[in-house]
Amino acid sequence: MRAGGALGAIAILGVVATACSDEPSPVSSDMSSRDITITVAIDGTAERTRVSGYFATPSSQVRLVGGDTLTVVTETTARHLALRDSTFQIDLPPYGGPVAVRLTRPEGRGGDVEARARVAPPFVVRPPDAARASAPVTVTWEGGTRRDFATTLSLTGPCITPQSRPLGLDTGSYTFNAGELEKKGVAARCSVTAKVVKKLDTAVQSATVDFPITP
Amino acid sequence: MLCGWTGSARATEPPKAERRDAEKPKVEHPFDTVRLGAWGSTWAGTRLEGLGSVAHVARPALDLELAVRRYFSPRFGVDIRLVGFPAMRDDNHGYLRGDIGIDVLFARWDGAAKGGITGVVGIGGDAGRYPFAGRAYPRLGLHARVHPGPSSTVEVAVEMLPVSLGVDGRVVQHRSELSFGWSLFQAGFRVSHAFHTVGAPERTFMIQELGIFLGVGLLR
Repeated sequence: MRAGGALGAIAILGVVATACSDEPSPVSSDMSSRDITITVAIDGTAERTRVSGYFATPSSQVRLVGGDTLTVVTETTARHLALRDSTFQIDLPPYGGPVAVRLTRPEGRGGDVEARARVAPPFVVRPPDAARASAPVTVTWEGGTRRDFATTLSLTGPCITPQSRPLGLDTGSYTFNAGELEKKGVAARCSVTAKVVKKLDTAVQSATVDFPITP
Repeated sequence: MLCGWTGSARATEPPKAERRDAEKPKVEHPFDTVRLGAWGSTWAGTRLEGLGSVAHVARPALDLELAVRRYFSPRFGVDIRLVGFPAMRDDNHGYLRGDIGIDVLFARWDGAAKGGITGVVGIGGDAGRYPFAGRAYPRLGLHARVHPGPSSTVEVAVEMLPVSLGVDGRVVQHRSELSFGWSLFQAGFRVSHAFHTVGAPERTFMIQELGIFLGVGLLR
């Protein structure tokens, strides 16, 4: 009887031992603000501004509970964000300016956590009229963005030599020289895409336009 | 007659050396113990993750133990306990604990189930395995021992570690043990709760441990 009891206790310990674990709690109320980092990325176009990002926390499956709320705040709107698998994403109307993703927390958890970004104003790219690869091709857009934005113009298509131009100044126009776009052995007309990207850290505002070009 | 009585009295009085021996405490003390065995336990609770977050932990543990209690007078004794198990390969679950203390017998009774109560004041230290380990601490405890039979014992021990040094934050720990002895066979149950207050923001993490002991004991 005594031996049976001892064996039973050992068996219970064995069962409990199989439940061995050492995992960070996925519940946000169990997390200190000092262990939370929010990374935000913005992909803006003339149609929408997509704000996305993720939480870097001790657990990769964080759930917001107990009064922790996540919001995205711009100069024109404030919207609640849902967190799924520690990531978030929301589409806002076209926007340019500062964006903040803010985790608002009750007292005693280490304070609010915020990630900030600034996105360039939305813009459109205008195609040249009757573009020819053998002639100068000028692409225009709304320029004048602050100098801390990196502006890049690219031109791609099946009948031209792909081009990419990092621009030190967002002048609002760029002209490719005659012959720069010509591709050897291609004499057909095609559609090309001009894309202008204005980037500051993880915030990107871009615009594209398709136009025909002839050799 | 008087001389004869006197002479008779002298004849029955033990010599001085024998009297001194009789006044000496007996070498065997009912609370003397040497115990050697193994603990199997599970510990579970929460621990600090990062700078102030919570992680849940549940793990088994195995420890070897040598416990010695030796009374050097009827009321006072020393209590020494070594507990531990080496880390296996790359794991970090090795553990070593050493406790030493002074036992003071302050209540004792006879009868069918003779026994007594002792208080323990001591110090200790541990390292490894537990999030709160790597510390030195004072010990305050009470032991109650009953001898239901000539070769059997039942003992209840409670111990409090009110503070700790050498580890981040504050640690308070309670240890309780219920042990049985039948001749050489020893068995026991152990419950321990450790409260570790640490982190930013400050939280109190709790580790609970439940264990059983099997071993051999030499009761003097």
